[in-house]
Amino acid sequence: MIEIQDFVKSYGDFLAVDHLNLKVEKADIYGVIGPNGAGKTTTFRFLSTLLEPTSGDALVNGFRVTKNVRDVRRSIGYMPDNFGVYDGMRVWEFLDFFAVAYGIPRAKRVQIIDDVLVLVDLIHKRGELVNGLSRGMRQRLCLAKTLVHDPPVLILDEPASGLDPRARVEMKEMLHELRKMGKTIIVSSHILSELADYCNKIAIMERGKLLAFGPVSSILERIRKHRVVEVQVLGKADETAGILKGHPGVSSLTQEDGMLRLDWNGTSEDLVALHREVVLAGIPLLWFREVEANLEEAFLKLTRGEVG
Amino acid sequence: MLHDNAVLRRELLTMLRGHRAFIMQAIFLIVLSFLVLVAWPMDEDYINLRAERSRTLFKLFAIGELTLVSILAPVFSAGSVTMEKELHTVDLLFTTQMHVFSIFIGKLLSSVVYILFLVMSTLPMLVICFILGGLAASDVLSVYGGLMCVAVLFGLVGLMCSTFFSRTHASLAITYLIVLPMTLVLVLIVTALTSFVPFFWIVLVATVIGAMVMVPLTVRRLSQPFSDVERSAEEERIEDQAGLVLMRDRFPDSLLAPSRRDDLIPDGTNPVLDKEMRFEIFGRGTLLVRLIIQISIGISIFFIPLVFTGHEPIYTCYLLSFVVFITPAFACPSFTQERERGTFDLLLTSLVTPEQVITGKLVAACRCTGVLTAFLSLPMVLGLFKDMTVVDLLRHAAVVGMTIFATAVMSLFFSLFFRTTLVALVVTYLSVLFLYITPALSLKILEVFAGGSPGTGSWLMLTSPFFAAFSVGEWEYQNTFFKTGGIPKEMVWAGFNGFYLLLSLGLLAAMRAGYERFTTGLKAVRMGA
Repeated sequence: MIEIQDFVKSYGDFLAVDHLNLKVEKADIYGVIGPNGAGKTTTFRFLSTLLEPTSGDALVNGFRVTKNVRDVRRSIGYMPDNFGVYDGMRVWEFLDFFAVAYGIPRAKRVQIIDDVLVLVDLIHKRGELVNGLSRGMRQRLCLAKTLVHDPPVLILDEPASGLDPRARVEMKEMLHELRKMGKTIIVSSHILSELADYCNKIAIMERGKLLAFGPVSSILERIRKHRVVEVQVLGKADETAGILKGHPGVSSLTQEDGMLRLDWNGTSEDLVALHREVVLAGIPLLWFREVEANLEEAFLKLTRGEVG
Repeated sequence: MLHDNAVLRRELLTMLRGHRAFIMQAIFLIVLSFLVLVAWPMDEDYINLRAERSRTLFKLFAIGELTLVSILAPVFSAGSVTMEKELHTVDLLFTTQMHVFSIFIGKLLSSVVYILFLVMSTLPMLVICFILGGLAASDVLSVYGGLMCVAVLFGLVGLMCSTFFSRTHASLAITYLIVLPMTLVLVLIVTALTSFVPFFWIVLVATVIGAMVMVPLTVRRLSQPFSDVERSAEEERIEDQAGLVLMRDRFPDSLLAPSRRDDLIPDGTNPVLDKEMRFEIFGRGTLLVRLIIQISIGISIFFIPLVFTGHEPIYTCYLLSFVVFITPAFACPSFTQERERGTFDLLLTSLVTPEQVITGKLVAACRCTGVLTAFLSLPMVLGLFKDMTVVDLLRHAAVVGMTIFATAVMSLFFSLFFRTTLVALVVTYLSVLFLYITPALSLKILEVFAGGSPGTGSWLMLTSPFFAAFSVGEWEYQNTFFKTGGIPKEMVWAGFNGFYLLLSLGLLAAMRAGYERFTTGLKAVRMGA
């Protein structure tokens, strides 16, 4: 659905995006993460036909971004990270304006405007002035604008920024709903834990380069060379540490406030055996659990260069 | 107060770090050098008359500096507080421990110091004028002292307006509206005086009185919180009672701003035009428009007797001045405001064509200025009861109409080309001044100083709508300042309209050709694919 081919964007000597290649399949929710200045917004603006590439190209819904601008614009719904609204317009007038801008006939517009307002949960604000809406409501209104012409591809740059926790949960549900409707979504966010929740694939960028990409699970597997296990005991921490250190599957061990954290190189069967050994030794065990890798960890390790 | 004033330091650093300061100084010095060069006595008799010529040259030089100061001073002062509001830095500034008066002094000095620097940089040119003799030191000191007072006075006006308005273009437009009549009066004073000493005292007194009125007002406004740039319900009620709010559902206000829709936009409508007319143009300040209308109508009352006495061209010149002033205020924010507000990307990624965007914004700007000018033009109809013919009335209307169209096109062009409204406004005003007044004025200076007709150079006068206005009707313009050398008066009118029609069409074509380059960086040819 989206295929970025060797995209390069430079401003003088500064290389904003360096030979980026990425493929987003139909009905994917592809999350793009990276620190400020990583090149996420540059990539999104390029995909939205708002930026001339230094070199490279991209296909969106089968159309070339640098050649079939109008077809690409018809295929995408773009939500910028910073956007404004036309003061003095009401919510329905704002959507009506963009519906006309996308060439939707009047006969269909009433239904479409109501449908998208229901989808983003703003139907109760239909007659309100857009400049009177809260930040979160404006985000939802802009999302409604991106949906007004029913595009197959959504390009959402930081759609959850500035939203309160409840609005973020709602945004997540909305994106799931849109994926069910068959939309292909490419989205950026700084809230990594949430991206892991609603994206099936992730790309991590830094300084214009793509550090990792693919399904979330495969990226997490890649950053973990070994499993991590946490053991919490009531007293007897040193005695427990002695038992753990003696096991060949434990490659390293740290201890803090009764919490022992070990890197595990053995099999799952060996881990079960280790757990039994600790219990049989009469250690008052509060918990013994494997810590799952998460996106924050992956992001930090990749951007620090700890993972090749 | 001045020592370690953070506002002053920051403003000066920002101002002088960019290339704008250098460009401004270059333009300032080039224009003045051009005036001196044109007016430099070249004829054989100048040795006998050189003291007199020197004084005339110096007077011209002073008028030129005064005009440039009046154009540039509002640029720096009128946006000093509104820019803070627009960039949302006003809360940061006013929650520091700086005293409000320190902020006021910092803002005022930072807007004035650069102008003073510009004025002082013209001293070498003045030394050249001294070669001719006839000037006393008191004259020079008076003119330079007077110009400094003018810079402070206009800086105060701009700063005061900046605290009263939430948008820079509104503040700038009102500042110009106040400053331009004052400049006109000062130019008349300089022209009439034989010595420059009284000029200084007049300006000093005006500045002191102005400061006594404006300083408390400005400081009071600065002490109020600005974070809420939207007008409160109470402010709206007061404006409504004062007749400062447009009644969109009533005639003639409905001509300016159509009332809000109850239903969806009809098919086939240009959405950009609809948006501009209903939400944008008067979203830029109903108060501003009302003030402009009321002040302009007030001034026009003094001009109406001219229509009954066969001096219609003078009334047309008043209308032209109004057009030149008001059109950029409406048209310049067209594209820049979309950028500043962050709505341009939303518009650009829709399927609206560049033609729809450009025509929508152009028609909206022309319609608003046209309707406002039409209100002011009504007294011209009274001329039909005197000696004016319907054809002459239409010819006057054509000159005004073409000026509206050409000014709107130039404003849109610069709005598309530049990123901020302030820069687009300043460049448009300077361009309009350069095209409408400078060539004709230079030729006149050349004619007066060099003697005789400027010959083929006379054709440059076709760029001025003011000369075109004087070419209409039975006005005996060949005996006035507005005589146009050997060019037939019919040719002046036709040449003006033809020139600006071609220029406007050329600019529109350039805007269309460069639309993608200016807005997205994508090459134009790819849009049609």
